Amino acid sequence: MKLLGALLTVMAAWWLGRLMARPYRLRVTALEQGIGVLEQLRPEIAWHQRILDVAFQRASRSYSVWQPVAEILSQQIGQHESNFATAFHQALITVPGLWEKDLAVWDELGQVLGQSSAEFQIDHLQAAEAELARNLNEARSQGLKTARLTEILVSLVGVALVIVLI
Amino acid sequence: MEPWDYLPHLWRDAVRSLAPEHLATLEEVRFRLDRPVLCYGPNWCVPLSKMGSAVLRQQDLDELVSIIADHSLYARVEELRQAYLTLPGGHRVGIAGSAVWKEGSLATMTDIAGLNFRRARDVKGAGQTLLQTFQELGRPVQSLLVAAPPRCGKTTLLRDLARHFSENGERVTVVDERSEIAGFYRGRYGFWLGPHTDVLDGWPKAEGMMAAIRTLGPDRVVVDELGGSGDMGAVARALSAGVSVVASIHAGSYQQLERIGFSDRGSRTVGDLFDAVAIVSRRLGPGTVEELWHAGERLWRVEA
Repeated sequence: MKLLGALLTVMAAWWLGRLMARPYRLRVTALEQGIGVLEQLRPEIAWHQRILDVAFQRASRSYSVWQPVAEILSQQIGQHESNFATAFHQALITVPGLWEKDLAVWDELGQVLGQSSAEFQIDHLQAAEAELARNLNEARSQGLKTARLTEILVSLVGVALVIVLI
Repeated sequence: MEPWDYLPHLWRDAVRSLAPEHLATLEEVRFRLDRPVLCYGPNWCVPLSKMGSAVLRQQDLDELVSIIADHSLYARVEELRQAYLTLPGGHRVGIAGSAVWKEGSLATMTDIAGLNFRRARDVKGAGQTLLQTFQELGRPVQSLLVAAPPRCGKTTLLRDLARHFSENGERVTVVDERSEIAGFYRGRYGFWLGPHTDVLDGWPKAEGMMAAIRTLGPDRVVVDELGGSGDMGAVARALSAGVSVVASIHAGSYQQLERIGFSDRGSRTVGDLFDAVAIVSRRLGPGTVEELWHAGERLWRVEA
């Protein structure tokens, strides 16, 4: 019984550690996929000249985190009511894992997306991509380090608790 | 759907709340910077009463343009360059604003100062009546020019003529530079133009006519609003290639047409190109045929 209890305590601590580290890992996924969406958006806008909601839907097809954004965006635009920046922001806040500084980059892009000719749109997309790539590097180097440390520390707390209890 | 159905709900509801007799005959809704929104019918003009005396701000107009362009102006640059945006169903929104020039040519528009939501009409049978009249006068039509000032129903008449020729088995190519005749929008036609009609959407008129003759083998080419001498030259080349042309042009009378020269030496006029000419006005409503001419001879004139 003691052995089972100790095992469960360690496992619970490890799971808690994973839970606490989740935002860091989610951010990396959201940024990686977001950059992928931007890369796909470029030909959709510059070459195919598809309208934004269709372009976004096609660009996000392979990126599960971003698919709901495309759906919300399409609904909002289809109603002919809100401006794009507002609709884009409302869609963005449904993406799990984006931090304030990442949202700021996306919001800035939302202000100019669709508002100029294709060549300027490409410039805006590239600028946002470069900014997000910097955020991704930071998320990978510091965020993942923090995530691993959090997991290890919380797991060790579990081990320590078991030792104390025994 | 009507063009005003694509407005944000505030404006849409205001238009829909017009008196039934006005709503039934509504032709245009005009949004102008710092002025109230006005609705125009055949012989009337009323402000959008539900909006009170509210005037439009620049931001309102910019937002309206963004909404009707599906927030994707990059995909509508060519339309903006020509001062309009197409809506589903063949309707269009005329745009007033400042031109932006780039390397000597018009690149786009900015500082939007006015929008004109204009209802496209599809009147079936109008063209057939016109052709029958020529027939009854003993002058069957090969090439036909419809001449009228703006807002007199030229495009509506051309649309019906294209459909009529196509439904009678002729291979018709419509060169639709401004997406007005076919109402082409996102890969779909806004109007039925018959089973034997091909549409060259967005093509400049002269290039479109030449491409049609080279590749589509039409019996008849339909083209709206002939303008420069390049267009007239293309019509002349189409006619000499044995292709009939049905076209429209801005002119109020046959005499005005006679003054539009097009050859290098200005020795030929537009009236020389077409065997049949219909002069149209909106005196008794859009599409009123005032005069019919054939080979330079006036055949018929509407009773005053």
